[in-house]
Amino acid sequence: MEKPKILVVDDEPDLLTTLQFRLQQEGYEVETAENGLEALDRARANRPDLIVLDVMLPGENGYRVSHTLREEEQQAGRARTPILLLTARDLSSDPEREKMFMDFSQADVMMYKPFEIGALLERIQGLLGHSAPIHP
Amino acid sequence: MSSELASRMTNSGIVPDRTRRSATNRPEEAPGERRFSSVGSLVALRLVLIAATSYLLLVQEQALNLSFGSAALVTAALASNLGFFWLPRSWTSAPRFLAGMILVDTAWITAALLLSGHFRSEFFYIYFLVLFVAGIGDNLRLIVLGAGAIGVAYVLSAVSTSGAAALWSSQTLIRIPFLIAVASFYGFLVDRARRDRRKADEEGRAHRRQAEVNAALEREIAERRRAQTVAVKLSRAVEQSPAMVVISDPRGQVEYVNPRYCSVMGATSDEVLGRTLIEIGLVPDDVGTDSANPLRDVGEWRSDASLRRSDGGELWVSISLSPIHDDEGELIHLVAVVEDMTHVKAAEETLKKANEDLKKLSQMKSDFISTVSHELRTPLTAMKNALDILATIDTSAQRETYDRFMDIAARNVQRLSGLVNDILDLSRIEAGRLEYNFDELALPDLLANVAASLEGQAHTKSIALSVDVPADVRPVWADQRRLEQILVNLLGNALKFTPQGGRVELRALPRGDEVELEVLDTGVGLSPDDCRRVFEPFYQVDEALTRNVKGSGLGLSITREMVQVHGAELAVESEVGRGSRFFFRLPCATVRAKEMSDLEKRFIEYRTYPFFSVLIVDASASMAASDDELFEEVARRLEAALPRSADRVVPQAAHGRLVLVLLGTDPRGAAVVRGRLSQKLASDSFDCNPPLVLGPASYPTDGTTSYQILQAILGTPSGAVTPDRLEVEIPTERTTAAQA
Repeated sequence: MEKPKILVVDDEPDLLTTLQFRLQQEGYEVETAENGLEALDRARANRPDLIVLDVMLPGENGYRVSHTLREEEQQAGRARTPILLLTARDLSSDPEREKMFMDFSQADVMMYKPFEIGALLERIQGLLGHSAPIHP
Repeated sequence: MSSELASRMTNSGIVPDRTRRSATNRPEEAPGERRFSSVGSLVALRLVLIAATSYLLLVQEQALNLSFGSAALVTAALASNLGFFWLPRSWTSAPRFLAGMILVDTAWITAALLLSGHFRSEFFYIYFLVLFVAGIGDNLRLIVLGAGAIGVAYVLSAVSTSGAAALWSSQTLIRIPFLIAVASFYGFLVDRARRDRRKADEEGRAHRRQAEVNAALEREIAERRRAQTVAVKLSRAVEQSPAMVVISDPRGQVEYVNPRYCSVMGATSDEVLGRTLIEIGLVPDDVGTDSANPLRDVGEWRSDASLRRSDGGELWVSISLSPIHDDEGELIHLVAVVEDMTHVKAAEETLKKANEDLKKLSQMKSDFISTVSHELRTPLTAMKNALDILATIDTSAQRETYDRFMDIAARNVQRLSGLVNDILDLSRIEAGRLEYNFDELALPDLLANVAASLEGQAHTKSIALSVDVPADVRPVWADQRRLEQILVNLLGNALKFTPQGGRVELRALPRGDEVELEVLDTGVGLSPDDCRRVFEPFYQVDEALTRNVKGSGLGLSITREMVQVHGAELAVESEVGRGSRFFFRLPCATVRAKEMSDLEKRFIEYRTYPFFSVLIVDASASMAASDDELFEEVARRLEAALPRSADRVVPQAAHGRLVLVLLGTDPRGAAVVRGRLSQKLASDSFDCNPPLVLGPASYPTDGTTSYQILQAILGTPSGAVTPDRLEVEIPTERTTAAQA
């Protein structure tokens, strides 16, 4: 079975490293990007199965990246790639703002830092439609 | 009463003009003359009467009948006549005197007639008839004529009875003149008496009239005075009113402006008179319904407006317009009262601005909080993830992985703790509780280390990070940890704001007794506005929609504070699109400075001294050429060292009195600085007692350490520094030798 490809985008190298390691441990193939432009390039070139996207990025921020990707998908008539946003801003107390960002970005899920890696993995599983984790 | 008023009153006939009236109503001579002539006439007439009576008395039947009695009477009468001339004038015109005289004369004439045997003759009765006629008669001439007529009638009757021959008897003939004389005399007297009485009556009437007029006049004057008082009161009220008052005619043409209007608007009365209320800007031209005469039907009207003064300044005012009507309801004036509301407006503006500032501040604070929380969560996430991973792996088997993630965890712990320190630093700066540790620092190593720590970040963006420091640069006097922090902040910023492939340089440039440290970048640069504000807490150069700038917005403000504590000033030069240069100068370390630092270290023990905390300012390294310069430098060093909150100095509250020790100046210089410093410190806002300023009385030699000086100060009995102990003797050999 082919391993699902996940694109992880975050300008924090440490976070990138930890996520990449953990996801690889779970059996996913991981690609990384450190800024918005890089993320768009990688996403277009390699068509990942899921994108984990930090919102605070140099250049194009996560919301814009997501928005752009969705537009391109619609134009090309492609299937929707699950996008999971990560933000350090606690917007759970501001549902209006959260809704605004979600509407704009058209991402699927927003998760708040710091998060439990386990929780993240579960969400990813859910988005990819797997019932159980894949082990290498 | 003013003469003008008087003449107006007399012209209108209210007051009779006494001088005029007497001129037209009584054609008489001067009173003095009148009396004399009347006395003369009186005497003459009386003389005639006496003569006639004497003849009647003395001459009878053509023979002289001289008895003692008759002679006495005649003599007395003549004497009394002469006596008139010696009587005082007032007597001769008094009515009582006249009455008395009439009585006396009547008595003696009657006596004469009796003596001459005329009693009971017809002549006697005719005499009384004539008297009667004289008494009631009005006109002297008529009286005399009447008497003459009676006399003639008598004579004729005598003639008719006794024949014509009897007429020529001297007695009968003399009776006519006698009667005439009597009539004249009495008639004259009576006439006189009557005239006098008439005059008195008239005078009485005139006096009464005059009194009435005077009373009326006085009432009128009182009335006018009252009105005048009210008028003066009102006019003063208007003249001195703090409000501007403008009075116009019904058409709006200005008739009067009060002095306040002139002084506030910067116009003279003449410039405004004649212009309309609309022209001078008090009333808009569409206030009324009639465009030709807009003010015709204006009722009471109020508005706020802005007026332009003669000097161009703007004035905010509140205008109330009132129409004034006369008793018949006709519009006679428009009164505009104009109140200056500029200060109210200014207060409003200040309040509005304060409100806006508050809003901005609260917005900045909430932005800060959200940014800070983001900043805190990021390393936390990394740490947490790393630790999670570490928990799952087999540490012995996957050594490399283990190391890697341990590194990550450790690094983020550092980062987190650094951030927390930043925040604490900032709050401590605000509360004024920062503690510094100065030392001699070698720049080449320090700069190299700092640059190395940011190498990774530079590499990520392919930015060329270089360090340029001459190997022989003198060491500086600074707090190492803080200096590193300063440089890291500046470099970090430079890297953040410089795009890929740019250049960032850290340089140290010797400048005499200082070293200039600068961080240059080829980044986005700052606008002049940004340059001004970039050191403000929470100020962040604006980026697009969501903040793409990482950081709390505090970095530069903290950095600036730290630079200031070193006695330096952080500045920026920048050009949008070209890059920026942040720079400041640090003093080179001197032996003295080092020594002081030792002392300060020892001071840590003394800092908790119960009575005071001590701050040492060493002016020996000063290059000041004059006392003023020295003072400025000392003040600057002092200000840099004393913790401040905004613009208030907040010494450590726990240490009570702050003692400032001034070192390294000669006695005169010390005295000058001490005096001026005391003044300056007294004028700053202090949150506790202003510090005592102490200076050594004599110049400390190199043999004396600052420590010894302070020991001398601190070693006083009871251990407290007394305020009057401003001179300190330095117990060294050289000092005592100098004194001797």
